[in-house]
Amino acid sequence: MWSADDRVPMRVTVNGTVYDTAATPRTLLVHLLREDLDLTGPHVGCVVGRCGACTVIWEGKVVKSCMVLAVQADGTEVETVEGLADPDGTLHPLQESFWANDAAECGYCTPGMLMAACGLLRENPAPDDAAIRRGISGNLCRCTGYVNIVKAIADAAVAMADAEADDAVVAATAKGE
Amino acid sequence: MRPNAFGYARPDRVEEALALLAEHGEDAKPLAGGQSLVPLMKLRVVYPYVVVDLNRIAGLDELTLDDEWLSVGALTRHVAVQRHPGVRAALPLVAEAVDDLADIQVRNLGTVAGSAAEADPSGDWGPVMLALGGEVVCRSTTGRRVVPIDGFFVDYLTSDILPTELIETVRLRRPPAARSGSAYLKLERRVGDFAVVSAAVSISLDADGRCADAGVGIGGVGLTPFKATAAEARLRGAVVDADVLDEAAALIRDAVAPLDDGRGPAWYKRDMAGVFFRRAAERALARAGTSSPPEEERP
Repeated sequence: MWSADDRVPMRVTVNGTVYDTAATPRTLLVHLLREDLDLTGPHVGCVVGRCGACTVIWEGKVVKSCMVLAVQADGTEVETVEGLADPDGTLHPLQESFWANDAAECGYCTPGMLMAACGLLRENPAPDDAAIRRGISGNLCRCTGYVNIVKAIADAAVAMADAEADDAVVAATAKGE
Repeated sequence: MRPNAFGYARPDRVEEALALLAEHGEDAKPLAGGQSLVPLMKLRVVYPYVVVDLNRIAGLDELTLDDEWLSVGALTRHVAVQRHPGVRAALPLVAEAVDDLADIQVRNLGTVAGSAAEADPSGDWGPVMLALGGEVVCRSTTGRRVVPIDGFFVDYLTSDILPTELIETVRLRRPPAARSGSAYLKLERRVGDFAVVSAAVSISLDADGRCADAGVGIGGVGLTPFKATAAEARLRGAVVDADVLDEAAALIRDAVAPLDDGRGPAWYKRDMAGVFFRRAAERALARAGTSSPPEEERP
């Protein structure tokens, strides 16, 4: 058992990079990411776990990182918005679509929206409007009224499905089918 | 904003967790999903000296549906119940309650047992548990205590569980497969909010179309989730038509003691408890395989 002042050693993989670090038990995952790992993508928006601006993908699950203790993430994998784009800077289809659809105004909710959308599309690659709205119901936006966000996610879903179809054709052609 | 300073234990066996709770008692809190506990700690409403993280203990996430019971363990997440196809078919009120519960982030981590222990009168699990009935098995270092669900919600945000106990199993009674129907309906201001009011109804019919059994749980109408025993009694033995539903709704309105708060005034919740009971009951009856009672003008 660790006392309140102990810095609990922990290893966490974020966006594919392994970090060996330590955190006091009271440190929230969002604060570990932002303050210790300099990943300021996840935002702190409310106290009560309602706004979703802190949303990340933890062990494959969409979660609010302000409601997880950093020490719980020891030995696990986290994905933040910083990991969406390719290393060479190529934007993720969701990022392209948010840009093309004016789905960000102040941008504060955007990282959380992108990660919630990313998780949604992994579970459900072809969501209808109702499913998209359900999928982001844990993410509050005070600026946009959500319309462009929902459209951006829908467009991204189509773009990602098309890209997968294209990849399949390429692969099949390469195999001489 | 940030939780208080606390000691942290991460046992990998349930016996260790129980020993820690026995040692620290009220100074300790178990951490399962954390979707209630962590926000309360951030608000400094709750400030345990020790947090016992259960999440590394294997085998606590059972989810079993057999002919008689739906059983979940201490770490069974809401989302697992939501995605179980057998549960949605056999117990629509359960699937519907979880569909309406908070959001995907909370459902991914939050647990059924945690919701039960939190005993929020406006939470989604309380009315469902009361409608179906069953038991909560509480375990400590001294053994197990089986608490009937009827007696589990004791006071505002207070369940019967002791500080030295963990919930081992929540077991919900499954109605007979034939001629049973159920539904959960929720009045909420925003999707996923705690309910203004909600109604969980389970109805079983006999071969003559009379109500053989009924379970009704109402949320948002007092200090605890509410079991509408008078309404249940009115339904039992009756051919449930519009008049019977009206009478049962009136019994609910008479029995509940909702509070004036930010979710609405008491008179509104009282009215809506009757309305949502009626709508949920109609849906449950339709699912039980009988035609709905003649549709009267809805209030």
